Amino acid sequence: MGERREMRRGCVIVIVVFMFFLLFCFGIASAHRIYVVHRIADIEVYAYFGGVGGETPCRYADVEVYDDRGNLYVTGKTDENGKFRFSPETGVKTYKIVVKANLPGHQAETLLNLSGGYSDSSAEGAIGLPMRILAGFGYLMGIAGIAMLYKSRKATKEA
Amino acid sequence: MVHISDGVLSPEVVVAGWILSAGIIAFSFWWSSRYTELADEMPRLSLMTAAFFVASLIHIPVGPSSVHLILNGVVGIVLGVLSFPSIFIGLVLQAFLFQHGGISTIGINTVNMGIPALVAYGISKIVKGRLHNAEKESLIAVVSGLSGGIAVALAALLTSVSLIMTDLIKGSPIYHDAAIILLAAHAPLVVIEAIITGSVVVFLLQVKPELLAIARATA
Repeated sequence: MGERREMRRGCVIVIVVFMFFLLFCFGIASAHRIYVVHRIADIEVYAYFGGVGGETPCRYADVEVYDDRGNLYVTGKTDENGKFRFSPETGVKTYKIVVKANLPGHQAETLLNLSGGYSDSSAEGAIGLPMRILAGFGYLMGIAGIAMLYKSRKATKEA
Repeated sequence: MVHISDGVLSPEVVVAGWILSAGIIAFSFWWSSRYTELADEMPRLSLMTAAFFVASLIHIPVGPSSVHLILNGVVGIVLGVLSFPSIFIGLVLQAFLFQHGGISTIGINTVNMGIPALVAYGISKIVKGRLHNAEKESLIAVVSGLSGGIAVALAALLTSVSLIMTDLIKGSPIYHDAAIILLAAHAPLVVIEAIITGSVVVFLLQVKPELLAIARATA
């Protein structure tokens, strides 16, 4: 009896782990990092933290806008919705927008091309987040696998 | 937030982080190989590293910013001294796959999150050792929960210390405010992780106590 209960418990653990795994595979939009997107109007910049449960606006973060020659054109802060607006200089088509959150290490930048229309720093990289998570799990399973292989070899040698 | 990016810290702090973390990783492998077969520990280590690896994706809005789960307390209590190398592996994967935290700062980040993991393990282990009583399960869970919270608080504190050390070396208070904000922002996370750690320990004590490093006789 005890053994069967033990086995059932084992099964439950495996199922729970697997469900967590599924949750992470399909539920996540993006990692915990800052993304900056913009649209041409005046010019509106929107910065947010990505992660499970959608976007969190990156509020009151420092914004620096550089022109095409790399000179600092305008600085400011995002509002409570993570947005920042500025007027482009006539003739200057490209800007680099840097957003620095008020905590160290959280910084992102995007290149704005007025002839291009829309840019999105979160679109970079061909590999999606679920694939990255799978890749990480793959490495970890590899570590466990090598250890198990070593164990079984040792056991065979001793036998 | 406790993952410091490249180019933030002064080289002295970065180098000290690598030396410290390399030393502690070597020590933890040596220590646990005295008591256990390292190969036996690897599947457990990989599983906990996987949890740590994805935990950083779950973030909680705090004021103008957001914090994410760290789970270093849970890793410490489940893995014992091997939590340190586990966190190192987790941070390497996070840095390369999620661009979360810098690559040059993996050393100092491991120290900042790994030492609190060892502290959480130490506290829970000592309290558990004093009890000698299986009926005190709920007490063990409470203590583990508290040490899980302490692990987060300590990680935030150590990260702030790394930033302030950089300020001291550079001689200008660039990160002074950031260090204080960082501490304040992690207060809610301390409570959340305390609850998570306590729940995990209750669950494991009932279902599979031998998985817990604190519930086993050695390391």
